[in-house]
Amino acid sequence: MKHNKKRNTAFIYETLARELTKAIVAKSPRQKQNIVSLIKEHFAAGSVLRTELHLYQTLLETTNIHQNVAERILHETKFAHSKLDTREVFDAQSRLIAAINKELGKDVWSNFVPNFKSLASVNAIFNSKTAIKKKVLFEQSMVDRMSAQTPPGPSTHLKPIDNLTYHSFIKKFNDKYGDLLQEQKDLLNRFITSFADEGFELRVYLNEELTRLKKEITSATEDSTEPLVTQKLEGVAEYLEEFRKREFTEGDLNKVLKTQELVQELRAND
Amino acid sequence: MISIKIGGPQATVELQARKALDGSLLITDHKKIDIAVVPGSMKVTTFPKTTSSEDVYEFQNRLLEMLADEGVVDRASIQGGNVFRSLEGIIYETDAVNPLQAAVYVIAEFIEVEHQHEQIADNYEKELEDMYTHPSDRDSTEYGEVPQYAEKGSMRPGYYYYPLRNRY
Repeated sequence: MKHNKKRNTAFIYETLARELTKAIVAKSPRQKQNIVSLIKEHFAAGSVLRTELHLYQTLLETTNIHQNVAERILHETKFAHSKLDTREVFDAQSRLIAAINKELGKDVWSNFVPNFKSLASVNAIFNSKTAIKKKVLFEQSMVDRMSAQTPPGPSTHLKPIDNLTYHSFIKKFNDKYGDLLQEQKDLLNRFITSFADEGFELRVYLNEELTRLKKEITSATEDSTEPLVTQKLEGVAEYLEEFRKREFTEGDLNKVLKTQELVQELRAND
Repeated sequence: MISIKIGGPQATVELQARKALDGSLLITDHKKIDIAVVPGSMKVTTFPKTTSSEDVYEFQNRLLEMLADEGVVDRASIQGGNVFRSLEGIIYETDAVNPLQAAVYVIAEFIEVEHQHEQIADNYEKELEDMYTHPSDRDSTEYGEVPQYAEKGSMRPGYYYYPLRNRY
């Protein structure tokens, strides 16, 4: 049996809700007002469409219940739906569809509704023209879904940290990073916060710091009497010079930090 | 005896700027470049904004040239910085005026001038686009005003063109 989505009250409501969201995001107050008026008019309290929508919601929004209870809810919902005047529902739907086409345009029907399949299943359960075999299968599937026990998700609450854990964390952090040089801390600080200003402050700092490092390395190279040390220092100077020709990357951070340490050691040896 | 000093600042400028931890003034008004006034080394350093995809050397050079022209930066000191695509110049030191304030004042002037140039360029671009998308009555015809013909240009209906026929 083919499912006519325009004759599915829950689908119409869902489509309107999505169109309303689009209008709000697009800052279109006129469209928004039109949709709200349509919903208020056609889904008013006591209206036949509101009653039918409520029956759809009863089946679709009920979860985590016992199988017997699910079966009873399904039975009662079907009974309540059978009490509705089919002709009245059809006419109300026709009026709403015509109003949507006129006020909002036919593009509304192309809105994507994620739970379309579930809505179609409920529609098939309520529809008297659905084949008995299919109806029973849909009903069983609905009962299974309503009675499925969903495992509780991971807790979103942060676990409280006691003082011992906190002090242990601070101690470990200080043991690892406490002996950093002041200039290393400054560089790391600017590197970490560089996302905030697109690295402007980091580049200003690097520009100055590289000048200092180059000066120190050059001075140490001139003072060095050992050829091997001189050669290595020249290599470091060349590496620092490269930053004139290419961007500073995350991979360079470690090397610059080590160069800062090297300069500190050279100064201490003087 | 109470002495009263009369007079406030000679000039004030408004900039989108903030002070870094080391006291540098980071100015971000310009659309293409970031400008830093570094008091520690008395430098004005410019960097391209990470969002600017084009070559920004011209903007950087214009700024430092202007600073040199106004006598704030030593022209001989203008050079590429240690960071890729940076350009810097050293500010003259003097006791007569606050050199950093003078530099900031000239930078504000530069940003104002650049802003005017940018507006002119934007307006020109918009006019050019309008010329193509909304042409005047003199440069356009109404739909249907020029009747269509069965043949247009080199396209002849029913005639199949064989470009290499009789050649080989």
